[in-house]
Amino acid sequence: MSYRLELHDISMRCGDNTVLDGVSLQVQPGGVVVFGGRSGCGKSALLEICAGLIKPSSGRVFWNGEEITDMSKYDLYDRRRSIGYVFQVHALIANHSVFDNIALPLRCRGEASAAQVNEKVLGMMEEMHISRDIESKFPEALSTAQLKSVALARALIINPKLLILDEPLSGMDPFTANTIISVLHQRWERDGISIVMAAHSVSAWPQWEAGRFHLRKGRLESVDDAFAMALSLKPQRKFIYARK
Amino acid sequence: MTRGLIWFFLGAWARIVDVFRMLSSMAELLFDTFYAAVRRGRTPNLSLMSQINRQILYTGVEAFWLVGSIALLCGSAIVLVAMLNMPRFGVGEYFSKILVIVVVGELAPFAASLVVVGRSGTALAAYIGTMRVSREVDALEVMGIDPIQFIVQPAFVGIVVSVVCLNVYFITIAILGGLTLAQFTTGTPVGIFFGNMLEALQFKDVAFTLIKSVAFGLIVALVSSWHGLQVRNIRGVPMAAINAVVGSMFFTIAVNVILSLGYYAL
Repeated sequence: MSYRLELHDISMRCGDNTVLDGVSLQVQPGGVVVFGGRSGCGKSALLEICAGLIKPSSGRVFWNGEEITDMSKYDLYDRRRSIGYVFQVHALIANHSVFDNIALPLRCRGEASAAQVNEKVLGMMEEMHISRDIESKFPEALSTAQLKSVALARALIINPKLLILDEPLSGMDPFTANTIISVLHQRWERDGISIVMAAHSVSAWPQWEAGRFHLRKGRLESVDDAFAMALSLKPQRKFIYARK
Repeated sequence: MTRGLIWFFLGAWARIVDVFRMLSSMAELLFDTFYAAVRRGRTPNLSLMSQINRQILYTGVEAFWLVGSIALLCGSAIVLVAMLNMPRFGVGEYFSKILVIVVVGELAPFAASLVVVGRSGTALAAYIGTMRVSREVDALEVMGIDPIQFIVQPAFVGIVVSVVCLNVYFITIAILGGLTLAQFTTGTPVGIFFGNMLEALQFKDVAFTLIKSVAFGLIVALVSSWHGLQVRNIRGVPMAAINAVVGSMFFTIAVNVILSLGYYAL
């Protein structure tokens, strides 16, 4: 279970506005990177570039040493099978029930029988403390916390090697937030998954030996002393390592 | 004056380029949809059948009452007008053939596709547009699920199957309903006319109406899906629905003319 993500000198421009300016980042297998920043500073754009959802204006993205920047969409679909992504908006399929939403990645892969899918989904719901009362409900009937939990369950059910999370705790009650943090920590410790996440406040997240950054004016700035030291010794655009 | 003409031609040229760009993009979507079917061997989609069933339910089954009513009204009008007027012009013996040409060859596939455009074309464009706005399409992509395979392909299959079924249903209701009404109102023996009509109906007429309905179904699915996929924000959703109707109707009429010209010229 290992996954390495590398961003090389990523820039992103929307018209005259520079959203990302020469961002370089390397997430080692089992590494955790949390970056914060004000709303609209480009956190979501950076995550989407990590997942290959949008192409940067310049720069290159590597998954396990393989460049994805100019990869065909079909090759990207194949590679994304080991990636879990949770959007800031839950992005659950509106005409699918909670159960079907969680089961969707498994069903579309066709690698598991109906009974196995059923078993895995119920296990995932239990792990995420999602009540079975809501398994047949549709997304519009759920609260924000429930939507986020279901979205995370959908991302985790495939046992991803890399998990990308966009504001996973926003709009959460403390109990659900703690559940999510403990599930993520357990997965990180047990399976050694790499995690990249954006959060308004990086201090809200436990350390986990994570690399913590602020995205300011399109550039990543470390908030950890160790990384601040590393940054002070190296030029801004050099790689920033986050190791487990 | 000269400057005005230059601007006019530049504007017209830009519009032509836009149309060609749209057509090439639609052709790409059509190719991707068929390619997704080929690719499915590598990525089996157990959700596909349920998506297709759902599409057939919305597009075909739920339109049965509406199509049945329209077929009955149109069939009655055509049969009655033809029965009452054709003998006056001395062409009464061609009644069955005319009925085959008008109802089977032209009216049924067009009316069925028109109902599907109005009901399902708009719904499909708005549905896909909303999925884009709420990031559901991105969510599929990031899970490694091809949105063309998950959303567009079932819509294609569901709409084509529905238009073909609604076409056959329309023909049946229009002819049987019209002839039954004619028997009650004019006392015309239905059995004889129906027998004549079956005699006049050739295999190529059946093939022609089926080809038309498949083509119309593909057009509705393609144009509506394409407009839905172009949506970038919530303001684009109603525009996508409008454009889907206008585009589908335009292409359906154009292809109808081309197919009819080809059929009758051969």
